Amino acid sequence: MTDPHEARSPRARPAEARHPGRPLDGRDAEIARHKRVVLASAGATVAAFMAFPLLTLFTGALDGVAGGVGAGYAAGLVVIIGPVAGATAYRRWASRAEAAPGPGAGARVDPGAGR
Amino acid sequence: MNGTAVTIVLLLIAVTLALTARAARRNRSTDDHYVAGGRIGGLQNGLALAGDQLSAASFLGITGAVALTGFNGFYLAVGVPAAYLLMLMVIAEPLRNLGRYTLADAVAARFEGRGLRTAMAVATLVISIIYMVIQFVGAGLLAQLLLGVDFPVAVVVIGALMTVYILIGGMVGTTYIQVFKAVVLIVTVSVLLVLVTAKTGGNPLGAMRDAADRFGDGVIAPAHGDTTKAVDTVSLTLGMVLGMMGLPHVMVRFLTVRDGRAARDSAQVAMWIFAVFFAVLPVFGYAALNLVGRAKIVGDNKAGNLAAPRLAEEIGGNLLFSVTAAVVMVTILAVLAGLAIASSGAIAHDLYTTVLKRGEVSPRGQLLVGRIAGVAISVVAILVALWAKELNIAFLGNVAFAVAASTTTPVLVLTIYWSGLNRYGAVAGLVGGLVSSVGLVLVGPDVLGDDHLFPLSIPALLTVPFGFLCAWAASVATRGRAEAAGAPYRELARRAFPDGRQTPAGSGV
Repeated sequence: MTDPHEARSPRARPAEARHPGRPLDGRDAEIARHKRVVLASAGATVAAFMAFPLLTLFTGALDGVAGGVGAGYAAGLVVIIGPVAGATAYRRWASRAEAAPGPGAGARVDPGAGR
Repeated sequence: MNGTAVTIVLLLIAVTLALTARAARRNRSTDDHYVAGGRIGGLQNGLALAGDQLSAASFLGITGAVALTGFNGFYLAVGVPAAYLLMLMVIAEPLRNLGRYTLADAVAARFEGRGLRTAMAVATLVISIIYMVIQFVGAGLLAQLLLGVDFPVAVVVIGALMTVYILIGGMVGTTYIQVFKAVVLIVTVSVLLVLVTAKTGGNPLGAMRDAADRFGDGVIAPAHGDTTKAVDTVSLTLGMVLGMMGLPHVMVRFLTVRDGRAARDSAQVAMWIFAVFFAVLPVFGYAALNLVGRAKIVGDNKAGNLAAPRLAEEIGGNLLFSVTAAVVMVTILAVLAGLAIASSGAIAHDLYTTVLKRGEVSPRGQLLVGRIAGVAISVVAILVALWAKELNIAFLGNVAFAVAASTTTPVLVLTIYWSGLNRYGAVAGLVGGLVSSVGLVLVGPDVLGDDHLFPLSIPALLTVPFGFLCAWAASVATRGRAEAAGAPYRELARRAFPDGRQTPAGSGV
């Protein structure tokens, strides 16, 4: 079956098809590193997030109240704000990675290829 | 009928129709209709994402749940920012680079096959229809309660408006409406927060403190006891945090942005809005408990869904009540428009154009079919909503997250990140996740009551691993089947993670 999108998008061809013989291994290593960082960060995010319901539901660690504010809410606020800080850090990291010259420079593909 | 509320609702609807008319000039091609031509910037898409995500269920449901159940209501608020961080890191940019109109396009970038495309489209439709029915029934009931408009009249009018939005404005119009909704919701929530804070001596957390003083510390502390309920809550939060990445109407927003940087920027903008929004909802919940009172909240609606509008009435009179009610109605309309676009894409682009016609449809024909599918979905949704009025469907909101987390999320993640996935694995993941998640809900307590065969209302704790397991097991079992291998993973990875230095400059927020 031919995807109509693919059929209408010559830009969707992979880079090596347009530039045979260009170095590719460095680009693959960059992608592998990107995937490792992203998946490790995602795993840490899920683990950190799930700690909140586990602690509040199954332990008394966040049962305290001080000054009219529950410890559970204080922890919940961290769970709500923390990801925003994480997103800021990720965007900076991604922007730096984009700006840095990489070994796979000769093997780029068009961003949004196939669109 | 509340004349002031109805007038403000009509005024806001007039604005959305004007935005739709303006969008019509830019809604000329299939690209425009489904993904706004891929021209949306980071700030605009971030606001639209917030408009898409912040539903009436969030605003009314969480405020009411905190007012009536204290800390238990807070679990519904904490998951969205974490879910968006996962979405930002794992899916947003690769999806934008691989997809075109629908989630199935991103998977089809690696695996051809009408069976897989059909399975993705069916999963999209199941998730979207669940969401849509909740919105429709909720809107009808709220219109009845808040505005004094009859349920059938409200449902038909809302369905007609949704049809107009997507028929004329497409994704461009939907984006404008979602941005507008996000702005009016932010302004309304800010005004409410200022007034609530003023009532509690300038302390934003004063409502929580007052609730603890009046009802005891237990009202602001986590509750313990029922282990099944606790496990259900863990399952719910897991489904929410993983399911967001698979929600079609949310994820297609990343197909509208002009580049990867705009995708990242938009997620960040949306997350700032979510952080503020979800952090203040418990304050509103406790303020409602203190100022409106439990008896009146329960008297209006057993689930406490009118706690927020009643709080607005208490501190700002009928005018603020009417504004809040109107904003809630616009909120529902904006979410429905996004759902209708995602669903019509699954029917028109995935099922009709690709599966049925094998791509042999002209661009003009695709646009026409997309619009017809939009109208058809509106009609079906109206009929289902009229039928479902008397059913208890409140639990469905969290079911949609669980289904998405068990079906589209595993397949999208594995398509992008696992070289070992093949077409059989992708189909097995979708079918296994869909059958297990929907099946366990059907034999669970929300459907069978005391005769339930499965103890959890939200089965994500089991069905998410099961969806991944099905995809893995089928891929391993059919590893040698060349016809299922799909495009080389290396090529897909290069498309999903392109060298960023080619991203056009100046496309940030």
